[in-house]
Amino acid sequence: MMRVLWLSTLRWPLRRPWQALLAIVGVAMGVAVVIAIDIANESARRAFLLSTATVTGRATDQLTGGPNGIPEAVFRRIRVDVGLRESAPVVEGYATSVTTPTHTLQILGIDPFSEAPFRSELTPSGGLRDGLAQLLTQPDAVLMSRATATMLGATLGQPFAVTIAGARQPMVLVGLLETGDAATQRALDDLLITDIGVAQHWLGKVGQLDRIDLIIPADARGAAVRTQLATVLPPGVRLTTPTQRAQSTTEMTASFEINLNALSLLALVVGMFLIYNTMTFAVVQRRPLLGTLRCLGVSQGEIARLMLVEGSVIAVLGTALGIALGIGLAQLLLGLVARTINDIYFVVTVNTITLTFWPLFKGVVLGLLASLVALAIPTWEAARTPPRTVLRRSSYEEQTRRLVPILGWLGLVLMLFGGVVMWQIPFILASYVGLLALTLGAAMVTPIATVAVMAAIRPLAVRLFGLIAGMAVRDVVTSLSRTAVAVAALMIAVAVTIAVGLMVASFRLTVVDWLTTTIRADVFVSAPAITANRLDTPLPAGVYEKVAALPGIDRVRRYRSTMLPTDTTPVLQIALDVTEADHAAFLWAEGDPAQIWPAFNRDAIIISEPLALRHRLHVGDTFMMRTDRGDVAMPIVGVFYDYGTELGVVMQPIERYQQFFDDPHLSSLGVYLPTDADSEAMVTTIRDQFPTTALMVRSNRTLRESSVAILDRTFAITNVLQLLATIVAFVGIFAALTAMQLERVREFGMLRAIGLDPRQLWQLVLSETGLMGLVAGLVALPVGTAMAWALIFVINRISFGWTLQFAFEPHIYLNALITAIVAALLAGIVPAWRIARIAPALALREE
Amino acid sequence: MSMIVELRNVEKWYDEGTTRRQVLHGVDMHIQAGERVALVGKSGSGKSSLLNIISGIDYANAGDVIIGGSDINQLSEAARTQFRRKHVGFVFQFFNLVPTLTVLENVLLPLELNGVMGATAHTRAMQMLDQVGLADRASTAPDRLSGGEQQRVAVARALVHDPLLVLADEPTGNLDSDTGEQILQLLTHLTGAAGRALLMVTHSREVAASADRVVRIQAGHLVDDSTGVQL
Ligand SMILES: Nc1ncnc2c1ncn2[C@@H]1O[C@H](COP(=O)(O)OP(=O)(O)O)[C@@H](O)[C@H]1O
Ligand SMILES: [Mg+2]
Repeated sequence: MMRVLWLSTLRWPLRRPWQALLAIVGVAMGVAVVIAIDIANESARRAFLLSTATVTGRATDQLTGGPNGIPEAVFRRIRVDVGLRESAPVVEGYATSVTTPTHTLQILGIDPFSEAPFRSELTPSGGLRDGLAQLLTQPDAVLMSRATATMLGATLGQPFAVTIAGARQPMVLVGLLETGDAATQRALDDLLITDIGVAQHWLGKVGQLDRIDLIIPADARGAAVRTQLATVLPPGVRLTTPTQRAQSTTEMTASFEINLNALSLLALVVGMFLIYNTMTFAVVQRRPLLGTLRCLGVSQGEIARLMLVEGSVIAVLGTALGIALGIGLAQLLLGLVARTINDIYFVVTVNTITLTFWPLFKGVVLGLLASLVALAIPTWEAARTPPRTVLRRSSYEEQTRRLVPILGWLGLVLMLFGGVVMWQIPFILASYVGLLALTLGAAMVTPIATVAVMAAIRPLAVRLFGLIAGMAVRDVVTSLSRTAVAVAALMIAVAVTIAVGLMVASFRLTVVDWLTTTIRADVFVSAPAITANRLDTPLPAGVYEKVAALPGIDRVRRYRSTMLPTDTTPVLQIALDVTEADHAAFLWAEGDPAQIWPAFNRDAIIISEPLALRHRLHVGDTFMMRTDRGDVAMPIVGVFYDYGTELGVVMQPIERYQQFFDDPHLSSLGVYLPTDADSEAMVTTIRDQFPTTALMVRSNRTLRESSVAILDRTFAITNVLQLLATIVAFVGIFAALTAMQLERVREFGMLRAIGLDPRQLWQLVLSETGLMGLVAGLVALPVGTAMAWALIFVINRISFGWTLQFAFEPHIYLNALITAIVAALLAGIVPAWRIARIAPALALREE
Repeated sequence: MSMIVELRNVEKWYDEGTTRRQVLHGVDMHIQAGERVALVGKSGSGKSSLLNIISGIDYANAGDVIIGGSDINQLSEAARTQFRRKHVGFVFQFFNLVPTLTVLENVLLPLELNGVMGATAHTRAMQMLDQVGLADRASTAPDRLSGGEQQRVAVARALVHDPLLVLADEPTGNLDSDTGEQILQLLTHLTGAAGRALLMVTHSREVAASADRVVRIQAGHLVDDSTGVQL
């Protein structure tokens, strides 16, 4: 171990601690964003799986039914005909607490007499039997964990209330659930257990079961039970395993997670540039030192090792800090992630993050790997440093300048390659590679763009602002080896901002357009649902008839939406009334409207674009629908644009739905009024008709607004990530520019000596950084547009299956340009201040 | 006496775009152990280029560069580095010292590179610093020293690992003449003692006179000139 040699370079960062610190912060931010997203997603998934596992207990199999559940008679058949005693009926539903903030509560209705083999770990204090027995002694009795009771403010034996389907539901706490271990304890959070009959009554599911839990042994007797089950089960009832069911539910969020991961990877790329930037400066600043060492006989390998060790120290510290930050950030993001999942996918109650091995491991690996990749070029550069005496700065710059056009061409080729890969290979991994190639290619084109822009503005700058401005322009080009890296880093950060901005704008534009086309009714009536974006809670019986009978109404359209299980992820089934007047509400991606409607009214279905893409379905194919009459192959006659759910939509006439499913319920009503009618007045009229029923009655405008609000909520995380990426980039540009300018203290000292005053130095430094910001901003405009194209037309299309319109928003470009310049100017302030303050003699003495 | 430096027909040129700038023309040179040679010539005549080739920092485009018996021009970059670390001591005009190391550590560095560490290295380095009169400044940072003191440290560092050959490229360039004189005397004195070879570039008449031999270089041509000293 060469102690003195190591000291010679390792003392360097100690002389400029803030510079090393900024690099560490850069790595840390990149790592933090990646693992925070991962931990938040993983925590939500775990919470869901854990609570599913807890309420499933020891069941090996489950029977599930169609949208309307399983008739109670099926349970009796299993007990009597099949003779399977280890079977337990379950009714599930959701309620909302009346606390602030509100909590979503899960209601689990069970049969105390069938429970024993299943969920014995949910032992109420005083023993399972006693606790379960208590459920039967009092009306509206529930069991819950102590934590939930505290949260709800419920005390033993005392009545309290929650909201179910928008209506107040009183209940009594009769026992506390206790389990030994903390994990299960957490799974009991927000869970209310009650008798099955009570649950059926509360949830409007009298006579029906949501599922039947079974324990089927894995032996010959079990096999016999399975064959027997097959004969007694009605067509709509299916045998699945609890894990299968939970898995297919959590898979619903796959696209959402892919999109978040793409964004978190962009943050890491920005972080990578930061390390690259810092290490490049470390090398540039140390060239004289390295040159001296080379003269003394220090080998290239030894220099490379010195730089690698230093970079690794930064990487390790940055990664460690990033993990700590990431865990904190995950807690913050968890709320946003859980809200989106609840808005769009399924109900999950999760309040605390769960730390598991993989997200942390991934964070460590990505952080170290990204650092190493970013270190490679600067390390190679350092090792290549010629011995001191042949070192000529100007020849080094000359070499750089000769490299610039070559680099530019290579960059262009790389960008084209990225574009072709994304365009031609429809896989998400290929799109990531393509996006990365596009980004790196753009960074490589930046130096030549810098030279071009400077050449173009130099005459103007001199005429308008005099010689100092001219000097600034020239300086940017003469120290291109350093300025280009900083400009490229800022350019990428700004391009990401533009890309994400355009993506969100395009999304909004498309969805708002689509909502305008599809949401046509004047007033909508639905039951309050827990999952904001979906209407699977049925309307109370009689609402349709009563609304349809109101005076001053043209017509009422009926909708029934349910989740339809498939072999993979479930899809949304919408059954509805379609008259000729409604045809204009559909925009077709595939199919001939003249043929679609006659076929639709006969026996065909129409499907949404994401479903067609995901399952590679086209007009003329069939879709296998699991109905209460068994599997039915329905011909597809049209593919329509839909931005409501990436899971996919299947639409059919409501009459046909009611033939194939034993489900007389409706989910919502679309009320059409005469042209000049007042829809807000009708909202009030309808509400007044149902004073005691919890109903959502919304006008066309309110529904559209709330749909857009949900959309905006889903972008809350995107915005947080974008902000973080911008901060990372700013930290980077700040570090780079400060380092670059401070390195020129001697040159500035000389300028002071020949008579420039401090104000002119300020001017010089700020003009230089401002110019760099300008170039970064200008280059970012096309690059950001290209990245937006990739996000909108490639990555989104692969992950969600949506065709979006491209929203060209000039203000996004203008903001980006201003951000780039302001960030660069801000980053120039500290060095300008320090340089202007320095005494000329002192500056000249340095070195 | 063994031959330490033996140059035969050394050519050096730099390609600048389409034109070729020839810097050294058929240089032959011999320096024996214990010999102290002064290299003189106008600025731009090729002195530094020659020193770079002799030290293995740069390579010759043609000719043989035999130092201590081996043709270093045939060696790989890595092997030349190893050669330099072991057999060459260097004093430059500026930027001699590593700013992040103390005076003592600067002198320890060549020893460490050659695998000498611990107490032996420390004793040897302190001895060297004592010889240049700076033992009491051992733990000072280089930027606290005057220009002359810095060059004395550089001399100590150039000699500490007992190299075959000491090269000095205008080591007095930015010092006043008295101080410069002092440094060069120190250099000739310390090299002569151990039977090493010394090649120093200088503009000083007196220093050149105190050398065993003066070699003049003119536009890349070597003019051996052991008698008269006309600068
Ligand atoms: N890396 C280089 N590229 C091009 N020309 C060089 C390079 N190094 C030195 N020269 C040229 O070689 C000639 C000799 O330079 P040098 O050996 O430094 O002279 P001296 O040290 O005698 O002043 C000069 O004309 C110089 O411009
Ligand atoms: Mg010279």
